[in-house]
Amino acid sequence: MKCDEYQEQLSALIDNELADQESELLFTHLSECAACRATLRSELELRANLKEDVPPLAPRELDEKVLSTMSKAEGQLDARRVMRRGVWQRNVSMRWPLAAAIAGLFLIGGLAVTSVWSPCNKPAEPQVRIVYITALPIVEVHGYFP
Amino acid sequence: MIDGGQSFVHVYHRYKHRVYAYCYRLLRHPQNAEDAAQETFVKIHRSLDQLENAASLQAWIFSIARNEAFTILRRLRPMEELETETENVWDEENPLEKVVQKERAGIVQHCLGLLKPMYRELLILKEYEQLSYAEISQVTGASESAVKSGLFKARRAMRKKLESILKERDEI
Repeated sequence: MKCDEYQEQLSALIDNELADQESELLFTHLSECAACRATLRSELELRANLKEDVPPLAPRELDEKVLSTMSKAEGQLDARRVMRRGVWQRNVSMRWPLAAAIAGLFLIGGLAVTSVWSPCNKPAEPQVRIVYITALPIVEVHGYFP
Repeated sequence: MIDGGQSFVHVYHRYKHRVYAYCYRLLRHPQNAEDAAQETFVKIHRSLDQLENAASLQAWIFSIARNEAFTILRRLRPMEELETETENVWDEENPLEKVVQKERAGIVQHCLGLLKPMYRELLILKEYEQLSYAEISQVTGASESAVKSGLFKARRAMRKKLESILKERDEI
């Protein structure tokens, strides 16, 4: 492997992204190559210099912009939810009595139909029934009963 | 799955400085960075409850921030290929004459700002945000090997430029 390839591995090494076997080969090479050792030093120096930079903090305006926009959006969403619930409730409050009225009508209609078709309303016909009188001796009494 | 509402506020406070710093370092302009960060959090708010894997939250957030920052960069420099890997990592050919007088760390920062955005973002994500290659790959959409070689190229270019600048400074 050439120094250029080892130097690409150096970059991965300082990022802690090099496999154990590759690290072993790289360290063997480093022990023999002054140029690559110098590159490692300068890579570490570069990293240290980059780290010296203090990260800029998010301005307060960002809080106002993001959080107030979000709370406004949440508020609108809640209002929409309430509105939808209201509409739903209005629909339901109109439907329950309607449903109750329809159910009542069905009940009354059903009763009416039942009463029309009930055999009770048919003119009484004499029926033959068998009545057992449970006294000894058993006597079967045949007769007409309304 | 992450639920919205309260958890968004938590995510916002946890990541606001990092997202802003990332956008700022990429865009190098406070107002643009603020706009990109704001848009990032609006998008996070919209889809936080759809995020399936909470473990990938960090990479997900930075990928949104990256999109927003690159949208602004594209608006500012519409003709440029911002994300194509090239051998030339610099935005300007002779960027450093005016910074020779600065401290070493200042020169390093100036160099960073003059890298092409795709190389700059690799260094920012690695050095400042300490993302792994796998996470950087998730954020940028590049393969892990492209991340590895991109970081190597960026660092090599920075090293060489620094050496020549510091040499020039010592000669003054």
